[in-house]
Amino acid sequence: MLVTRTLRYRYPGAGPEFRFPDLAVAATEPTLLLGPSGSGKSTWLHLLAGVLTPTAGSSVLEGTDYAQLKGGALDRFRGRNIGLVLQRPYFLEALTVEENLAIARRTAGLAADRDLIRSTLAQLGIARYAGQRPRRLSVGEQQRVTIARALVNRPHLILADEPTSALDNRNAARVSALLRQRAAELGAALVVVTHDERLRGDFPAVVELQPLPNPETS
Amino acid sequence: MSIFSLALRNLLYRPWTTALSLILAALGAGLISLILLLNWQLEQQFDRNLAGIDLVIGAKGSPLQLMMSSMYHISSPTGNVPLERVKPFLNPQHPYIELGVPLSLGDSYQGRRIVGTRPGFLQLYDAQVADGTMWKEVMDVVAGATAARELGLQLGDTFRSSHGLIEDDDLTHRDAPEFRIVGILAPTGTVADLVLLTPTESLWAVHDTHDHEAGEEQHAAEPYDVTAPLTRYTDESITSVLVRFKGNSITALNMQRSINENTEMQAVTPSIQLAELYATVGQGEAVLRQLGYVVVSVSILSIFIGLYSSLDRRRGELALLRSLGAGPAKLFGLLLLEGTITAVAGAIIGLLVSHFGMLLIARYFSDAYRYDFQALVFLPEEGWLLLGALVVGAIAAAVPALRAANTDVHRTLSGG
Repeated sequence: MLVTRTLRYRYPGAGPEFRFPDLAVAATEPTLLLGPSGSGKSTWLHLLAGVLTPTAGSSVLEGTDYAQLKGGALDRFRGRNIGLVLQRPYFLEALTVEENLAIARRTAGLAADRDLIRSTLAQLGIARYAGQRPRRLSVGEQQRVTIARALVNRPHLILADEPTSALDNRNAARVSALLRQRAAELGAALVVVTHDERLRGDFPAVVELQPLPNPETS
Repeated sequence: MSIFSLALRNLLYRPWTTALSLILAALGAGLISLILLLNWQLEQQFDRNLAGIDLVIGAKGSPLQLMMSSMYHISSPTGNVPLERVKPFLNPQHPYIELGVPLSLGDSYQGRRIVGTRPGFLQLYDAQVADGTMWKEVMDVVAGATAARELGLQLGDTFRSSHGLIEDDDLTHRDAPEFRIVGILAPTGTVADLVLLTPTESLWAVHDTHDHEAGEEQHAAEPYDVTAPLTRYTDESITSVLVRFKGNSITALNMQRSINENTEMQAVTPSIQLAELYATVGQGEAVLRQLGYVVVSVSILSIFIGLYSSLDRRRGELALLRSLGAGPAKLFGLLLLEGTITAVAGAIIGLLVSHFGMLLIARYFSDAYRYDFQALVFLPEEGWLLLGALVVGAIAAAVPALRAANTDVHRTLSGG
C-alpha cells in the first residue's frame, strides 16, 4: 500500500513548484498516472521512486515514510522496496541478463538467489536469454528484462515509466498485462506513469495530470 | 556479482582500453623493477666478492681492468709482475698485511678460469674443501663448487688447460702435464665457486714445457714444492696479489700511493674503484629510472582517460545502479576499483616480465662471465612497487570516481 500526501517539489534554483495529487494505491488497484509531456510526470515518478526527495509532503509505503529518509537509508529502502521499470532500457552492459538481475539483488543487500532469478526470467518468457548480453536482445525483450529486474527483489511498489511507449499495440497490451499480473502475484502496489492513452482501459484507477502553465521542466 | 567482479567485468568489456592501460602500467613497473633487480644483483655480486680485499697489486694498466680480472675474474689481466717485486706483500711477517694472496691468471679449462694461487685464497673467501683434499702437489686442482658442477668434474678427473680465457681447442696446451682434480669446494656464494684453483707452480709447469726448452734442467735442480712459501722462488712471475690489511685504511692509501709512484706496478683500492664504477653505471641507471617514471605517468594518464571517457557512455548504467540502491560511495568504489585493478594487474605483469628478463640476463651473464644471477629473488622494493601501483591506480581513478559518485540520477534517467 502506497499513500502520498501533499507531495511538492521545486527544482533547486528558480522554477515552478510542482504540486502532485494525493495517491492511495493498494495492491489490488494498480494506478495509471496519465499526462502529456511537460506535466511533471518524470518528477512525480522520481519522487515516488525515492530518486528525488520532495520539498514537502509524505510518501508512505508499508508504514515507512520514505520522503523523510536520506542518503544510505533512502538508497537501501529504494533498492529493497521499490522496483523501477525505466523508460529507457538501461543495463550494465558488461553483464549478462542473469547477472544484471543478480546485481540488482546485490545492490539491495540481498543474496543473488539463482533460482529466484531463473524463475523470474521464466515468468516473463525470457529464460532462454539468461546468459546473453541485454544489448543483443530486441527492444521488446529488453523491456521484459527491465521488468524482470524490477520484480526480482520482490518489491512492495512497482513503478513503471512509459513502459509501452516504444512498443506496438500487441506488445504494449502484453506488457501492461504482465505488469498488472506480476504485481498482483507479488502483492505489490503498481503505478504506471505514461502518456500512452492505450493503457487507460487496463487500469481501475487513473490519475490525470494537467500540463503546468509554464512548462520549463518535464 | 559483487562490486569487485562488476569492476572486473567492466574492464573486460572494453578490452582495448584496458589492454593499453595494462601494457603501460606493466612497462612502467617492469622497467623500475628491472632496474632495481639489476642494481641489486650487481651490488650483491660486487660487494660479496670484495672479501675484505684492501688492495690489488699488479702490472700497470687500467685500474678497473686489474680489479675486474683479479677480483671478479672478468676481462683479461693487465700483465704479469716479477715475483721478486711482490715478495714483500706475500711475507706473512709483514707488519701491516694480514693476508697476501698471489694470483696467476691467464689459463682456462672450457671457459672456466684456472687460478694459480696459495691456500690463502680459500681463507680470503671463507672457502672449505667439501670433497677430497687440499692440493699437495703441482697440477693438483681444487675446483669451485659451481665450476665443478657445471663442468661435471669429479675427484680424480684430469684435463689439459688452454691458453687464454676463451674456450678454444687450438690453444690447448697439448704437451703440458695434465691437471688433476683432488678437491671440490663447498659453495660460498663468491667467485671462489666459479674458478679452478691450483698451486701457482702448476701454471709455471704448464708453460715450462713450451715457453723455454731449457726450463727442464732448471727445475730439476729446483723442484716445485707447493707447500713452501712462494717467496723461495726467484726468477718467476705472477699476475697480481690480493692484500688484506691488519689495521686501518690509511695504511692502504699510503701503500697504494707509494706503489703507484715508486714502482713499475700499480695498486688499486677496490672500494674506490667500485664507487667509481657504480657512479658510472648509476648515470645510465638514472636515465632508465626517469624513463620508468615517465612511463608510469603516461600509464596514470591512460587509466584516467580510459575511465573518464567511459563515464559518458556509462552515465545511464551508473544512474541505474543508484536507482537499484547503490549509494554514491559504491559508485566511487566501483571506478576506484577499476583503476586500481588495472594498475596493480599491470604492475604484476610488469614484475613477471622483468623477472623473466632477469632470467635471460642471468643466463647471458652465466654464459659470458660465469656469474650466477638469481632471477627469482623478490626484493622488498617490489612489494613497495605493488603498493605504489595501488596508489597510482587510485590517483588515476579519483576524479572519474568522484564524477561517478555525483551522478544525477533523476536528470540522467529522465533523459535530461
